[in-house]
Amino acid sequence: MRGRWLLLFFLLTALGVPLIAFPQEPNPARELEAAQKKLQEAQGKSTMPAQESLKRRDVKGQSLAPSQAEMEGLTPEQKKMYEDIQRQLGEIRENARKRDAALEELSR
Amino acid sequence: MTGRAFTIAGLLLLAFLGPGGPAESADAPAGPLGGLSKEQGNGSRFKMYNEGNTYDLQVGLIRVDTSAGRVVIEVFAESMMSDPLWQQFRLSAKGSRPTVEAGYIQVGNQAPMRLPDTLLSGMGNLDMSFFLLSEAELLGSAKKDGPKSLGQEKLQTPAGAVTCSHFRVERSGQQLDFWVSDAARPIGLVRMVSVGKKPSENYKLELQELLSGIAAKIDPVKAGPLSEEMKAILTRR
Repeated sequence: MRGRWLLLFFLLTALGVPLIAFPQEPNPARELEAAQKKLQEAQGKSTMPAQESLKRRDVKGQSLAPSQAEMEGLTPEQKKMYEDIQRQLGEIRENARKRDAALEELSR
Repeated sequence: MTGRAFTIAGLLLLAFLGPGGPAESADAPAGPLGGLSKEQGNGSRFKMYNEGNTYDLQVGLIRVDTSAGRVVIEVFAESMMSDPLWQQFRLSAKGSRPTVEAGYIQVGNQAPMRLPDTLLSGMGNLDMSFFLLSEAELLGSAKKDGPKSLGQEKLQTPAGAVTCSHFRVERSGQQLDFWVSDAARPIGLVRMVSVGKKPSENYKLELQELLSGIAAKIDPVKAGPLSEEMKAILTRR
């Protein structure tokens, strides 16, 4: 459990590390490309493919939370099974949390 | 994951503080966050695969305050066997380098906790360019030895088919490929595949859907100090 916890923190909190070391030196080829792009834009020519429409879901003022998208297309029985599993997982997590806390206490 | 490895969180945050680029509307307010004001409440949901685990990973642009030069973002992550985790960061985009002004963390239904400045200090060193995951910006401003542009590819994702710009960076034996599309703003990221020597460096991330209407989970007013247990976990890394 703790290992998974740590992984999450590594993923979500390791923000202090520069991801991509962009050098500061200009690249003439890229600058030319950017200039050509600006020129095309100024001339009214599109330099990018038409914007495509990706599926967007309105969460209607809710916070980020486990997605219900996986449940789409499930039968009522399957939905119930899914919810039961989620509940059991919640209990397992809670028990694991208590176990970790107890182990931590014992190790002191 | 070592300190030199490419971090997913860094990439996920890339899009937030970008100065806009061609996607910005002509009447957008001036300033570094002008182009983002219309993206408030928008975000992306990804599936991430790493070391046999599948994570539901979501990122939302909660608030954009152009006059104060601030943005608030939230990240949500949950795997089958981990508690749901929310993190909120308030970033100031004044000047050329953003700074993390405040950070919060919430685990499950527990009360949110404030991340102390000592844990946020490393985040204040982020360069503005690290936050750009705008397709047009990446293509237009890529520098020598920076992310290599591998052209455009049409990807089929659960969110739909989308034409992306494919980039690659390599460092210390780790190869990171990422596909970016302005159609997926404000986050911009569509797919990411990392291949490396260590298990933690091998992961895949794929866009599942775009989100809108996102509100904050964490209420900073209710945040207490970071618990000793959490502090021990965070400082152990």
